Amino acid sequence: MTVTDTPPIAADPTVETPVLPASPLVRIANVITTGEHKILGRMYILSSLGFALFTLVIGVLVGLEQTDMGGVDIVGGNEAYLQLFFLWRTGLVFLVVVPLFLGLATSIVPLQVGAPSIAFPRAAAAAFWGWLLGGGLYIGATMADGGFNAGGDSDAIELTILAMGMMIASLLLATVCVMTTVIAQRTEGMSLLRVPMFSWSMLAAGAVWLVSFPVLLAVLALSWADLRGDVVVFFETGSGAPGSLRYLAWAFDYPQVFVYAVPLLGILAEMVPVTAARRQAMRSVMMAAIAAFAFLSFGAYAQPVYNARVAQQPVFVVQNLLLLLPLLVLLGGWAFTLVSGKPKASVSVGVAGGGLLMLLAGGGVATLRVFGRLVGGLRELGDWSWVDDISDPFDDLVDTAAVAAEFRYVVLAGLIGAVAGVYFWAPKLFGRRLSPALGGLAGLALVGGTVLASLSEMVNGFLDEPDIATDVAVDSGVEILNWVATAGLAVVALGVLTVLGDLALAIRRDSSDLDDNPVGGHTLEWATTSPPPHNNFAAPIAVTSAEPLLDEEGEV
Amino acid sequence: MLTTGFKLFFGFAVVALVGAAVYGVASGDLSGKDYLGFVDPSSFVGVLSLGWKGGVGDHSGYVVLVFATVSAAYLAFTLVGFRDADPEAVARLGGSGEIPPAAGPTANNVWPAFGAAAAVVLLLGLVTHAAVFVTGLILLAVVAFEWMISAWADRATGDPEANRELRTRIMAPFEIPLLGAAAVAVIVLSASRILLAVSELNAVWIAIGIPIIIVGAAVAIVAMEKPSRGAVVGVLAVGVLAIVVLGIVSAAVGPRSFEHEEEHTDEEALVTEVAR
Amino acid sequence: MADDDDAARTALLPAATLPRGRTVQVGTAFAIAAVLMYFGGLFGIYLAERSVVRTAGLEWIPGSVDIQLTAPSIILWTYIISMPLAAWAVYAIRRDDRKHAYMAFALVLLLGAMTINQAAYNFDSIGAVADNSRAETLIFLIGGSHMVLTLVGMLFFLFTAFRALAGQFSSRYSDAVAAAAMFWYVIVFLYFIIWLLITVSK
Repeated sequence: MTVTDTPPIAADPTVETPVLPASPLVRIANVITTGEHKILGRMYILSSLGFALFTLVIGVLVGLEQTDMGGVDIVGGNEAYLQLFFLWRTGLVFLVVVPLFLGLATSIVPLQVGAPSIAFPRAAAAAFWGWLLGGGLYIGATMADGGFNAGGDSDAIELTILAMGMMIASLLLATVCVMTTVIAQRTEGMSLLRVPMFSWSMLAAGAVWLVSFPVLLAVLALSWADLRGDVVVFFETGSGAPGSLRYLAWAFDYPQVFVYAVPLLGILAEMVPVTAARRQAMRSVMMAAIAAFAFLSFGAYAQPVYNARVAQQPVFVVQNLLLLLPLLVLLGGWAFTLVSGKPKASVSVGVAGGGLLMLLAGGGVATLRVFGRLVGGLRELGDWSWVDDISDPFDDLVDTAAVAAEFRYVVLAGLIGAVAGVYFWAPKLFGRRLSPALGGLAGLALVGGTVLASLSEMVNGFLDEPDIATDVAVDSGVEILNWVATAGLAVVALGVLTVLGDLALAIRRDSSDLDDNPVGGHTLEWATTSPPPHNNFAAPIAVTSAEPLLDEEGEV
Repeated sequence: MLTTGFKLFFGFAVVALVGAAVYGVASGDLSGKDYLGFVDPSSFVGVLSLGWKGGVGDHSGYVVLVFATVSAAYLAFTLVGFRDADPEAVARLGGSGEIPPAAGPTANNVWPAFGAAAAVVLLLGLVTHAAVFVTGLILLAVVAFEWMISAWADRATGDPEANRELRTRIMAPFEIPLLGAAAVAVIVLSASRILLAVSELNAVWIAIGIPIIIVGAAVAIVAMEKPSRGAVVGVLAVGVLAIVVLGIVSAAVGPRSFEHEEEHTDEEALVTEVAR
Repeated sequence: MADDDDAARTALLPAATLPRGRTVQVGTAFAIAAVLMYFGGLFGIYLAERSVVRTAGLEWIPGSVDIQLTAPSIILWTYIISMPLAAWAVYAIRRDDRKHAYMAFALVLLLGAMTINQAAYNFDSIGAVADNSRAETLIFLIGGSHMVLTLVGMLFFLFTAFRALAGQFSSRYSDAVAAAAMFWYVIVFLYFIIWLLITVSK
């Protein structure tokens, strides 16, 4: 056996690029065995977009069921309806938006920090496969009469819980890989303050994912342990959402829901200075604002199961009100950069801007939902009837369709932001530019559909439509608005389909004349070829500012 | 000097700690009508003793916030200790002052994907049968071992080709026989499930037909002047896949009823008769 | 003859480059943060459920469950003893003292196995049934999760020990050993909390 006890000395660190024969079997084998971060990122993106289409179709089915609030008619019973409802809501987060951002990050972050690869590439590959197979198992188990309801098949429910746990654990592993890359794989001269904004936003979002997803895992573990025994001691009863979903509800409501959209801010923060062709003003303030937004989104403590009045707590109220503050700071910073630069419109920045508007709308809904609590707090100071007059309409929003409105605004904002990122970084991701026309069309569909799907739910919230139940008496306008909301989700699905179509068309496009930096980017990913080589960069690059490519051009 | 990473995570820790303190106190009264929560003096004791002496309103939320503080503070102090793992700080570790290159991409490796598949088997086993669970555990142990060997081989020398060769020389004597045995076991098990699921007559036909197909395919391949490797692999893969899929389906359907069961029933009837 | 050829060829091969420092430790620190939060979530549920039951004037841990101080305290001491041994592994490898590093690795693994064995015995002897009550379900879940965590920590040490045996860790690069030790300390810290929570305050 060969023993290498020799003291390691400097040698060529590069691993040779495997020469790939054209055989399809070998290609498939190469994809399955890859530890190459760019391929993993592509697989994440394509799989998440595929899951997005599936999840949105489920959302449309659920929406159709809500167009007739007299009972459950379309999907085959209340049990099936609840299973699909939770699949739609959980799927949009853990099958679509979070992995989509992680896919972008897996591809782009190593390039941005000047690293030849992601940290722990094999762990990153395991994370991808764990998420993909866990996601497939999750869908399969839910469809096999699983889900989180007490009334389904007990084995399938167990499998649903375990599969969701596997999915989340895998996403956590991917998060660790991305965060470690940002911290420990940076190139010479790149202090953390010089890290590109998208990478920074992934660090901030990842920090909150890292401290909130494990709490979700703990709840899932308890659900599983409970259901596994002969006697169910935790989850047999409950009001509101049935079964163990009551224990998971915090992960899909405010403020936690905002943390799924944090990378959108990083993506926009990359695009705005590029669009303005100048450096970002007050960069460190912008970084602090992104971090503050992420931290204010931490919601793992706000578990209604253990505190039914959590939404009335001062921490909760103030946290949700403060959420808008960093967004306003960011808006101000971007506006200043755009005004003081020479802005050039582009599809990706337009789509990302649409995503930001949706996020702001989501923040607005959160503000409305806690407004009643804020005003209601005055009751403690005196017996004033006008307080009730003001706060009552907003109090009622807490458990109504306003939950769905906020969820859709925020999580779909994340989806829109990620799509904008795919268009922006397409030359690095796929070695192709995507069609601006199709991108614009997709952006319009995504933003327009989100507005339809969310705004109508918001109005329904004021009309007291419950968030989940469909067999209740409601005002006459509710069902019509549910038609509008469902149409909105269908339009979002069409938007996703357009993106997938554009990607399919782009593969056939000739890319031989693609420039290294076709968008005029400022950060390191634009300093290498499109697509980047196996080791990302021909040689290690040292940087002296946060916008190294502007330094090269002598820009101030 | 405090590093950026420290400021990021310590900021989070402070926010979480303040949140924990306020939440622990203000959630003290869960039954009242007041919106901002009644501040119970005993809540302060609970908060200050980290919940040890009770008095905290919502223990769950409070403990989660305290642990968020602990986690974020842990990361903050780790990062300040590492000077944010800045390249320049890492360079000082080595003594030479040179910034070591970040790790490059690893060679292709099947074990991450295989590990995920093994995890799926493990989860299925938790729900279905202990044997499946144990299979998943064994598969995960194999993955862990292979991963360890691969991680070692990657850095055995500075020559990637030599590293690959080294890994193969060590592992192939184990992998090839074990994988071969496992493949044979899977095929035998699948074939047995198929033969047990169909009727007796059909089982005979299948037992005759499959060898004829195998021999036929082999003869066809041999007869080809230059059989392509892809075609041979493809034929084998399709054949094995078909047997395994049919085996799984057959296992799900279950075995046919056997004559000896009837005999057993007769026997039981006889025993009952005698007993009477 | 063949061995001589191999040896000669190996001598000609370049040594591998040093991995970049801190990477494994930073990754481990992030993983530790996640592990802490997982247990934080479980502890929070335990305390919240206990508070609800006790506020209602009921017994939290059923009378049929006999949680004694002796066995968990011995487990805790076993963990505490393993901490300096983990530190010793790091200390030794940083001084290229391989013999003592291997001893420290082996001792940590031995003590880890002992804690798992003792914890299994403890579960067996307290008379708890996993699905009998909320307290028992949570005790089994928290204890079981910690056993799995200990096993993961042992595997981490086993991996580093193997690579140390193969000469890949030395005074020039010992990050993975330090990371394994970091992870081990957190395992001990978490057991200390479990000991306080379940054994002492019940």
